This record gives sequence, C-alpha cells and structure tokens, in this order.
Amino acid sequence: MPIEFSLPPEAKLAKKVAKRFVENELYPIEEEMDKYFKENPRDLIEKAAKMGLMGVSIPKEYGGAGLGEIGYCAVMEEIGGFSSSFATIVGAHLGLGTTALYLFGNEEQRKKYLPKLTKGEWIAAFGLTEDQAGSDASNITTTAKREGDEWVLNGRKIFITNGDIADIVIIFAMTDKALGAGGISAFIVETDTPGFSVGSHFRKMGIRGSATVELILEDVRVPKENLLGELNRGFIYGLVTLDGGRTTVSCGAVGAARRILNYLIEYANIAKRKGIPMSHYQTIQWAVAEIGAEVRAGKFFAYHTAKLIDEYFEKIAKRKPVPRPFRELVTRDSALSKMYCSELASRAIEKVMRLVGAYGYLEGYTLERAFRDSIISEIYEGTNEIQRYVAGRELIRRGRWFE
Amino acid sequence: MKIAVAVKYTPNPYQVKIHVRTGTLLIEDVEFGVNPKDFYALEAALRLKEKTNAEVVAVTVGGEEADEALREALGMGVDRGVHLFDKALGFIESAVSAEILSEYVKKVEKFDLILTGMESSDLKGGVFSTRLAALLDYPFAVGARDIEVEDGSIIVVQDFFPKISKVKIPLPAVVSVSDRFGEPRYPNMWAISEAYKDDKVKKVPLEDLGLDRGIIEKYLKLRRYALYSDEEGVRRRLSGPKDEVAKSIVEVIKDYL
Amino acid sequence: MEEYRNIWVIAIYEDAEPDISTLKLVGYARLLGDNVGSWVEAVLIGKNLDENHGKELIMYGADNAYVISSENIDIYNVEQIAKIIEKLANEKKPEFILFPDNKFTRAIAGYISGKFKSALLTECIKLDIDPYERKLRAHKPAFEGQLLAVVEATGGFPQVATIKIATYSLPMKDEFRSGRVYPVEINLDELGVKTKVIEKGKAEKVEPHNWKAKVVIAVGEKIGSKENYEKIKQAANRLEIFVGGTKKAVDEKIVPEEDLIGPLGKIIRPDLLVTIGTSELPDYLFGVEKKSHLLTIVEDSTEPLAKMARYYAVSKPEDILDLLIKEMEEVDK
Repeated sequence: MPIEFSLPPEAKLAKKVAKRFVENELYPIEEEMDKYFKENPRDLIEKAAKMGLMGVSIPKEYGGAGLGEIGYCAVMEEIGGFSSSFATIVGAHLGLGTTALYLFGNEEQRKKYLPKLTKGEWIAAFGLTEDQAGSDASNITTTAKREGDEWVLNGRKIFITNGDIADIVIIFAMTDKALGAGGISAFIVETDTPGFSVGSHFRKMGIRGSATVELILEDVRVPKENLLGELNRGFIYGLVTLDGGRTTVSCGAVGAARRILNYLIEYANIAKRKGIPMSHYQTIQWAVAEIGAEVRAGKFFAYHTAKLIDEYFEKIAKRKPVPRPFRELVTRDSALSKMYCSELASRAIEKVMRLVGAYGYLEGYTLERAFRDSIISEIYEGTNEIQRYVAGRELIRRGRWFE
Repeated sequence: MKIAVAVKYTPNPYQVKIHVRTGTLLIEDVEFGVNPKDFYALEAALRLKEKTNAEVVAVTVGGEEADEALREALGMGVDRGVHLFDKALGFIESAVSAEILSEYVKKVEKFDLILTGMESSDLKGGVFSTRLAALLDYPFAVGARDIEVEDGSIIVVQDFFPKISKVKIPLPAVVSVSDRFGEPRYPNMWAISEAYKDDKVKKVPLEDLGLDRGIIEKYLKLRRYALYSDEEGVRRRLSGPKDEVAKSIVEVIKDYL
Repeated sequence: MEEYRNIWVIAIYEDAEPDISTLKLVGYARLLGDNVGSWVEAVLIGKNLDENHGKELIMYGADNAYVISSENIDIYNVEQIAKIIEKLANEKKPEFILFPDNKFTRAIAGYISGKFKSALLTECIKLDIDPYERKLRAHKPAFEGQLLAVVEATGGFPQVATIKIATYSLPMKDEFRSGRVYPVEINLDELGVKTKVIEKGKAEKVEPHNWKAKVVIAVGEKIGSKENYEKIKQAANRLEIFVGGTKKAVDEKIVPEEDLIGPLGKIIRPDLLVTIGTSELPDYLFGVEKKSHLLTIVEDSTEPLAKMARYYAVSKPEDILDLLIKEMEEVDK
C-alpha cells in the first residue's frame, strides 16, 4: 500500500459505483449530447440525484451522504473521466453553489435549502463571473441595495453553468463600491423571483452537455434573510468555495487523462500496420509511460489537495478558526494542483491525438470530443494563468517552498 | 418476511488473464465486484421489501475480499449481510457454494425466500439456485421476471423467452431472477456511507457450519484454464445441410436471448 | 460406483417432434458410449409420445429408450420435469446424465445433481469420459466465454452434464437400428411437485435497442437487397434482436443510414454479435470493455472473420436467409 494513500472504504465503494453509473448511463449518450448540444439531460440528472451524487459531500444532517470532499473527489474522478459535461453540471451545482451555501449559510438557510439541493430536487448555480469580471472578480458591477427588509439586485452575470435549470443561484453583488473587493456580498437568489431571467445561451467548443448562460437581474428583490454569511465578506466566500471546486476539477482531469491513457493502450494493442501492432513502436511506448507518470503524479496531488480541502471546509463549516499557514497551504496547493492536473490531461490528449492518426480527428471516436472538452479545465474555476499568479506570488513572498 | 439474496464476488471477466503455458489464472490485479446478474436479484428483493416491509439479507460465500460484495449490497439498501467465510474460499463453483449456504440455512438462519442471480460471470453455471433448492428440499422457480407474494406463496413469472410461464409456489422457496426483471437501482451514496458500519455484516466461518476446506473440490476439480482456440479441440463451425445449419445458428442465438 | 451404469440422454419434447439438439446429443452420447463401453439410454419426456418416438432416437444411436408420456406433463413446470427425471434415476441408477445445454436444462441439471449430491458440469463444449476412472472431464467457457476452463468431476453419481451441442453434427439415422423401448408409468401426483403452473404464453417484448440488446445482427452489403435486409430485420426484431448494417451496406443503400452500426452510427454492446453478408466487422467496440461473442456467416471458410469468430457457418447469404428467418419465426410462434 502506497504511503498515506488509501481512500476510506466508503469512498472506494462510492467511486466504484460512480464508475459503473457513468459507464452504463453516460457512454450511450455522450456522442449525442455533444453533437446535438443536448444540454442538461433530464433523465441523467434525475438518476444521479436518486443515487445521491448531487449531495455526496454535504454532511448527513443536511441531507447529504456525508462523504466529504474525499468522497466527492473520488466520484468526480470517475465522472470527469467520462464526461466533462456531466462533471461540469455536478461541479457547479454541488461543488460551487451548494457548498457555498453549506459553508457560509446560517442554520436557517442550511435547513431551508440544503435538503432539497442534496437530493437534487433543486439545482444550484454559482453567479460570480461577469463580462468585465472574470479573472478580476472584484470588478463586478452587479449591485445590491438595501431597501427596508429586502435587498434589490441589479446586474448581469455571464458564463453561468446550470443557470437555466437552477432553482437557486448564489449571486455575488457589490454592496459597498468604495471598499472594492472588500465590498462584495453573496446572496441566495431563488430563480423564480420576479426580475430574474435567463439571457443568452452560449454555444461552446466543448462541454456541450452543460448549459452556459447569461443571467439578468432587474430589480430582483431578495429578503434580508437571504444574505449569505456576513455583509461585504462575499469575495472571500467566493475564493474559498472555488478552492474546493478547483480540486474536483483536478480529480476530473486525472480521470480524463486515465481514460485517454487506456484508450491509447487499447489502440496500441489492437491497431496494426503491416501486421505489426502499434504497441511495438517506441513512440507509443514512450507516450504511454509519460502519460502514466503524469496520471500517477496528478492523482496523488489531486487527492492530497482533496484531503486538505476536507479539513479546511470542516473547520469553516463549524466556524472554527483556520490557522493562517494552513489556509495559505490550501490556497497554494489547490492552485497548483488544478493547474497541473488540467494541463496534464490536455497534454495527454494532444499526445494521443497525434499518435492515433486520422481516427483521432473524426467525430464518433471519442478523442476529438475529449480534446475539445479538455481545455475548459484550464480556463474555468480560475484560469491557469491566475493559478500561476496566485501560487507563484505566494511562494516568492514566502521566500522559499513551504509544506 | 425474511428474504436472503445470494451474491457472488466475481472478477471482471474482461480483465482476467491466464498464464498460457501452465493454465493458471492471473487475477491478482483484476477488479472484483458483485456478479452483475446478482444485481437483479438484489433489486427484486428490495422491491419486495418496499411492498411487504420484508427484511433483506445479502449472503455471500467467499474469502476475505468477498466482504465488499456485501457492502455494495448494503449500499443498495439491504438490511444486513452474512459472510460465510474461509480464507481458502477464493474461487468456488456453484455446487460448493450451494452446499455451504444450505448448511447455513439448515443450521443457523431460515429464510422465507432466497433469491439468486441467473448465472455468474465467472463459471456461469446457472445452476446455483436449483442446486440449493434440491439440497434444502424447497420448491423453486427460475428466471423470474416478476415476483408477487400472496399469503405464504409467491407467484413468479418465469422467463422462457420468447415465452413465459407463470407459476405459484409455496414458501419457503428459492428463485433465480432473470435479467429481464427490471432496471436494478444503483447503490446510493447515503447507504454507502453507512455500509461499512461493523454490525452490518456477520461473519460465519466454515467450521461453524461443520464444514471444512475439503468441500472445495468435493464435486469438481478445476484442472486448468486455456485460451479459447482451435488447439483445444473446440468446435466452432456449424455445419451440415443448409436447413440444419440454420437450425443450429438459431439454437446458438436462443441461448443468448 | 459399480451399480451406476449407462449414459442417459434427456430428451424433453415440447411438441411431439425431437429437437435437433436432442438428436445431436444422442449421436454424441453414442461416441462416448462406444469409448467407455456403456449403453446409451434416451429418456423421453413429454405429451403424446409413443413407442415410435423411442424407436426414432434408437435409430439415431441410442440403445434403449424410456418413454414417459402423459397429458399432465407440463414442460413449463420445471420442478415436475426435474422430479420425473429424479424418480427414474433413483430407480435405474445411470452413471451419467446428459442434457443439451440451455437455461432450462441447466436449472434441471442443478436440481438433479443437488439431489444426488453429485458432480455437475455445465455448458460443456467438449466432453470426455475417462474410461478407467469413469469421471467426466470437459472444456467449458469461463469468464463470459473469454477463456476455457477444463474441469473434472471428482465425486458423486450420477454425474450430470449439459452440453453445448450446436456445433456437433447430426448423426445418421439408421432405419434398421433396433433396441429396447420401455414405456414408463410415473404417478405424477406422488412426485411431491409443489409448483402450480397458472399461465403460459408469450413474453412482453421490448423494442430492440442498440445499447441494451443482448443479440445484434450486423448485415453487410452481400445480403443483396433492401428487401432481404427488411425481412431479416423484421423476423429478428420479434426476438428483441437489434438489427443494423455495416458501412458498406449503408453506402450501397441496402441498409438505411439510421441503422448504421459503429461509432458513427449506433453503438452496440451485445453478448452475441451475428454477422451476415459481410467480410468485415463494424468497429464497434473500441473503448468498451466488453468483448462480444461473434457468430459469423461467411462465404468461405478461409475468411478472417471465420478465424476470429466463436461460431461460424459457411454459406452464401441468399442460400440461408430464408431458412434463418423461418427458424427465427419458429422460435416466436
């Protein structure tokens, strides 16, 4: 048994079951979902909800399965390995929207919303990004003004996953412009509130099974009870939630790289040129070894970060103080692992694409879709450039590498 | 009502390899899991549980690792598991596991209904349920597509595709469940998080049932494995006059339906 | 062991006609019998059977025949059939009991071998009897047929086996061969059969689905015409078999585009893939772990498909198409 690397048996079982689910349910509809932009497949989401996938990390008292970030990541490795679209849907719902509500909500908010969200009866979305506020999230222009017992929200959010099927969205709005990033607050907005609407649907290069939409808020009135956490602390909440979300992206990327590796090995064993199997050629053998090394390394890194996030989130949810060194470690490692894992998956796919010839380029043979799907992991949940900036800057500031 | 579901912990058949010269099985790094057809039996039991509030017990015969099969069954919603255990029980054929289970039923715990899968993905067979019924002297049904309980009896629709036969048999009985039964549910995350609690699985060593390892090759000995090839004298050609060939082709197809 | 003699072939009659598999099994048992010095006894069970049915099996190679016939015999009552065989076996003490292999006979074999606490070998592809030790030894498929297992009986009599007999030849019928036919009277009420058959009939069928179908037929361009494709599709669909075409067949407009099998069309994952009228396999299984069994109908035995298939038959598609359709319709009558 490798050093310190064994999943608790529940997480292992969850992973095994998730793998079976994904192979049986996703495999037959992948192509269609991608080809015809069939977003948010209803049946699939319902089946996943029944299985408890939509709330796997949230503690039992709020309706989740209580498997924590470790269980969540184990499951996401399998989902991400098969379908980036589905991983995106689940990630935005659970990893971002629901987790933010869980971590920063008060008991009333948790009890009101989490039971429905964890059972997948309600879907969540995470409304942070705006047209001029992507990497620079503090530049948002959505505003929230207090009027009596309500907050009135105005603004536009863009590139929001699940935006069209969500029942609640965590909206980040400027409550005190003078404070800049320190003046942003988070709100729980129920999507049937008047003034809330879905705008454009974006057609994407990849993850075509998930919906990426524009959200429009025009005088959306939200009760004061729906302020998430403390006033003007929203930006931090966003960053913390994303630290966790990023980890599932890492695990999903490792799963995707693993699938690609298996694809390459299968190809190498089956395909022949002039009677000689491709596995005979050094280029193929080397590629298999290189991708194998990265999958191994990436997996350790991703799960190590998952463990950190597990502890981190537990402290936050229980309102325990988080020692600063620990927080900095979590931030740094989540940044580095996301950067590394998403890129290793892209490297793997590009490598394999070049090795299998024309078949890699054709529709229907999985690979070209995996290629189009992979790059988004480098872009969303914080671009890899930002991850480099965050981690690099931190290390330089510290003066040396830290554990 | 108490229902037992016999589950087998089997290797992924597509990953199993053999050492060609010696004919030994190489399964150390193969993924194991609940035998796929057993999920239908578990599903049948769980549906009956929903209708009649029955207690469902998953039972497996096997070595240490077989415990995982019971945990997965617990993840689907069965109430508890029984592990008939011996370290040497790796790979066993259905006559042996049927005998071990029959001793458990005779000596330790009776069930109103015992459900099994139609066949296992390792040695297939498809004989476990009726062998067990013979040993226990219970009535049996095979290939259940539907099961209904009706005071002390069950009504089973047996799958003889493309035909069916509906039978009524008194309990206690042994029924094998067809893969035409209906979509088995997936284990859910909530039950999975509870599945490893210690008190959920009872481990019963072979000695407690008055049996010993000699039972493993009591009826059948597995001499070796081989690749599916002409060298082994396997006949592959369906030959004869055209009408015979057509009949033979359809005979083969029928067995897969 | 001395008291157990003879090789039994169990012949269960659905209507008063013998199955081709029964006849083949009699022939196979004959060879085994000659090898180890045993009589071959056919046990016929069904309705409306008489001495002539017994004689027929003797003409195919049996030495004796027991005919158990009654209006009240119901072959859908598995328990009844199993107990009939059990009763006779208790009396006559056969050394080996052979069945043609299918789901139904496997269940009966399980019961019989359980009652006698004897060895049971199912799905035998090649069966031998050790003439000295008098033990059955067989090759059988293991791990979803990916490998073969060689198993040997170690204990208990009568030894029971079910045999995959489809690939063996029909024996010659010798009209002049004679033997003993024994009609057997069995009091069915004294068997202790607890099963009551309430209903028999046709199963509810589902639409054949490319991903869920257990058997898929891939039709190639050599099938000849669109009409031939439609004919086989219709007959097969009744058995929940999914039917589609290869790329060449679609290109030649014999098969409609939406029936294309492969990554560019419908993906499949059957237990058995049957091909007819084609020399190539649709590349359907890349990335899927399951490896389907292949039954191919080729025009020449040297074709690569014949070499890789689990089962193959050599015939021009047009010569066998109508016969195949007739047999499929027979199954679903």
